[in-house]
Amino acid sequence: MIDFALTLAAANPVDHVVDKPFIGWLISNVTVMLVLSAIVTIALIVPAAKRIASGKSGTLDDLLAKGTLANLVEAVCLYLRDAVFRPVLHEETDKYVPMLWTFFWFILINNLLGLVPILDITAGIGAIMGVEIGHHGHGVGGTATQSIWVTSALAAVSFLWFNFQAIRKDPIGFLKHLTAGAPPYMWPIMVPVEIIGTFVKPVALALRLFANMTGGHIIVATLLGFVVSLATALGGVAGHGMAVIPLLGVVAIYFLEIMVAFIQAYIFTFLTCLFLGQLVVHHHDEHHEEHEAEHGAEAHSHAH
Amino acid sequence: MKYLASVGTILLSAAPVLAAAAEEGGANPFAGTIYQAIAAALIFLIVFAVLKVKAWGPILKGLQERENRIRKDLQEAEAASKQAKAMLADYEQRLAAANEEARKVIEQGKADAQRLAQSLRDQAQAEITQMRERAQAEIRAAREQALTEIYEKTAVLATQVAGRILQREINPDDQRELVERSLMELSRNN
Repeated sequence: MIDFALTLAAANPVDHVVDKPFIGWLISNVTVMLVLSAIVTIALIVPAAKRIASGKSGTLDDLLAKGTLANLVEAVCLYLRDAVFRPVLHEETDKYVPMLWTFFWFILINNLLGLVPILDITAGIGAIMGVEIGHHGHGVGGTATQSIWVTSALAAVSFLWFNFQAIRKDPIGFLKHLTAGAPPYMWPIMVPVEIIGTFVKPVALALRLFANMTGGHIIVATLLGFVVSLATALGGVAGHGMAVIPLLGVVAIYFLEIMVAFIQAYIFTFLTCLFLGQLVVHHHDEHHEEHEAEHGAEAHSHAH
Repeated sequence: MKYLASVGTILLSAAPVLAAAAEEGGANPFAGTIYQAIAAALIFLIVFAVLKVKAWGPILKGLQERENRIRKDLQEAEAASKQAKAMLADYEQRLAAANEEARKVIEQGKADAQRLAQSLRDQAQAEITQMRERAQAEIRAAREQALTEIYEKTAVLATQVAGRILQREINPDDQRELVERSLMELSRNN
């Protein structure tokens, strides 16, 4: 036990969050967790949708969501649609809301499943049963959204989607948008800046989600390392007593991580909505207002 | 508690394996390949496709139907409120008209009653006056008749007295003459 603890305390905490393929180069912790998240997301939303959809009894009850799960899903979906997306997308909200809802729920479920120690549980089961589960028997699990490859893929889907929607709706407007409404003599500066800005958006989306999810998990792993170090290196009452402090820190960070899981899913979805809104919703003073909104959102996300 | 103990045992069992894995080193937070990214994009799109058909459609439809119902109910409530206000204004107008009409009827009634009372008073006064005049005339006539009778009887008595005094009979012509003369004197004296 003490040997293990010393080894764990000396281990690199980053190792705990790194993706490891265990069947070929495709089947890894991340891909397994993505599939699991997909199943959980569908299993959560589809039954709820049936209970949110209008009934056919002809009474007022037809219009009510029935059951706790349906009300939970509806409350979140309705809040996102009416309070987050509609102020940006206005009357076009319902046209784009399915993709935005999918981003939110899929990322959220991924983030939350990452907080469940599936990796450690599967590794433990494997150790008890004497079989190697996962990469060299260290289990299957982890957080899919702490892989830069996954967040990049999601950001790429977001980027392709909102640009495709903008081009499909108004190709000329899309090109005009690259001039940022500046007079023609400013175009040599503005067009490259806007093009860079266009490509920076998905990079920012990918890095933000990746960094937030990875950072929190590394802190948890590091604090757990402190717990083991204090308990074993110092030992006795003092060592075990002091080990309580980082342990409480782990609990606190875990609560923070739950909050971060929601916030990051929200930020990713909200920014995707905002980028889409900049391209497909044209109204007076759009650049001024939207850039302000974007800067506000960026500042908000950087705070986390 | 039993469950927690089981999970704890499992986690502790994992520790040597995890420690061994950690010792291998090379912990790169950017680990992964483009295939993980492709898998992520594909899985996401599959989730989107499934949810679009099975969930988002019915949910959006449900939300829109509810919003339409609420909007319709609000519009109906607004229309009902407007109608009620219009009816109230109409009723108030009618009530005011009815009050005015009632006031006029009462005033008319009062005026009629006053006129009728005045007429009855006048009529009663006239009748009273008439009755008084008639009574006075009757009194006067009765008085005159009584006086006449008194004079006549007085004259007869006087004649009889005078005849007795004169020891002679006074014929009817003399008597009439005496009576008339006496009456004239009485009338003069009155």
